[in-house]
Amino acid sequence: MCSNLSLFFNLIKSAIHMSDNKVYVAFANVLTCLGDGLALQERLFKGMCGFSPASTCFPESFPDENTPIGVIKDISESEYRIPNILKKMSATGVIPSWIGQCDHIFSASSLGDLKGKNAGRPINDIEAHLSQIGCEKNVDLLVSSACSSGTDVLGQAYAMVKSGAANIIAVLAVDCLDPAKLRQHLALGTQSPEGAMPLDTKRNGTTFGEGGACVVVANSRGLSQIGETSDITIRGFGMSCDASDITAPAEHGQFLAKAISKATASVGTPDFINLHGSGTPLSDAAEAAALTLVFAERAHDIPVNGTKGAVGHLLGAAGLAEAVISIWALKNQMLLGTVGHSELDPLIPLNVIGAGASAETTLRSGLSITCGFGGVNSCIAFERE
Amino acid sequence: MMEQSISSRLKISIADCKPPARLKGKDVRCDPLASASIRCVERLLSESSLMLPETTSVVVITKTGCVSHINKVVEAAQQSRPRQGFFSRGGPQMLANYCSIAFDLHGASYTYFIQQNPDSRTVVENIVNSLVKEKILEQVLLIEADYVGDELVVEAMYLDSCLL
Repeated sequence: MCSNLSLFFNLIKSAIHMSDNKVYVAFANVLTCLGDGLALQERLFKGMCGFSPASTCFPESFPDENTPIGVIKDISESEYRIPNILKKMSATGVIPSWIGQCDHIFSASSLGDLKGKNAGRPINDIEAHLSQIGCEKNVDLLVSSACSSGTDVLGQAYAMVKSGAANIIAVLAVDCLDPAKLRQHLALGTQSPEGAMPLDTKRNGTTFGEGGACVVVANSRGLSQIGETSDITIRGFGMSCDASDITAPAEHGQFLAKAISKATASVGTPDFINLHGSGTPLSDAAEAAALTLVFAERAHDIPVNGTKGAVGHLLGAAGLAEAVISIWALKNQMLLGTVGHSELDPLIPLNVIGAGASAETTLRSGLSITCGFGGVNSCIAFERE
Repeated sequence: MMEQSISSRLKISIADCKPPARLKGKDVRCDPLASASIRCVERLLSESSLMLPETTSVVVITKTGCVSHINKVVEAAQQSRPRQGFFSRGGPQMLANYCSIAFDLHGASYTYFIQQNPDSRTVVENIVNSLVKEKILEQVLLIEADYVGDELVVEAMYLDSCLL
């Protein structure tokens, strides 16, 4: 192992050269409890919510539990969820059939299913699924940074293409909410009994969901490889860690602010921000504090939104799913409303786009923020050319 | 450009790996492999007299993840019992997160879960290399941590970038 690390050190030493490669989003799609693709876009922009009571989704495990959750329909309570979600992702085109043409496939998740031989190892399910659909390429790795995993895997693919180390990379994030996982979250007290109300004065927890997303990033050579064009680029990426607590964020958002600053260094103030917006009292307040640290008074004017009141918190897939939704906002030139939000917390001085307030507008740049257990913070900036 | 590289290696039995004193007053409910990772970094620091900058990122590579905690979560799930203490600390990212907390490091903090395929490690190296080139990471504490039989095997390496 020592010799491997020394080799790595030598690689680093010899690798500095600047590159101005543009990194395009060649493909982006997501599956949630509200559907996938065009149907999901339409439902999101209409301000619909995809939650159902836990007693309906998992009647054997939670006959009396009416906490709303956002699970994918038609997967029975006893089935493994990750393999079934992946099947649905392929069947609906969320995973493109040509994924094997990419130079690399990176994945992201948290713990996946909590039963069977792949418990806690969702990379095994992802590899097995890609093999089943005829993809001959191996999954190189799974990025694990809790609920930031999906943003981090996209940012890392961006860095690799930007630096010239690859032409085209597919990133795939998937996660599930099986009954065992829901039980843990109910015990942790993370779930809102009414459903997530991001940035609302009455917010009292998040709502977990499940699903998956796939994004392909490429330089111009990579786009030619798959015969695609794109006018959406990734312009920056930042990561940081609060390093203060395993579950709670740093109260003043000072480290999240550093990740935001790094991600927006080249785009400046974005035209909109897709917040992590989990709907928990601490997280939403820390996020607002971080935005104020970075953008000062401008933070009060930037339109911000959150999707967790519509499709739930997709755990390890949340960051990539919300990146896709941000990309759609740029493509459609549509600001998305924040389902579940009705009355702004006076301690959160942000310009929150309310539920049902989706509107056409001119959007050139957007930022997506994700935070996770362990105090991790990730931000990624997009721009439409 | 990486100005420094220092490494250290630790092999310890699972039974002997208790949470390090450095976590006292923070959160000691970590997987033994996270404890071993912290101990390996402590050894690296004591051998080198290195002071880690606050901006240091912790990047972990693992083939096994937090096996002890996952087993406890799976066992609890079979009995429909909540074990939130293990659940929220069972993800492989906790190997990085506990090191960030133990040493007050505020750069990136995440873990690569890889398979046995030797190409995966090369890809990880290329990604970290790219993140440094693009100035997304500055200093990197790169840790490899795995369960190997009854033992925990960890290697830590510190890489310091000099921004151009």
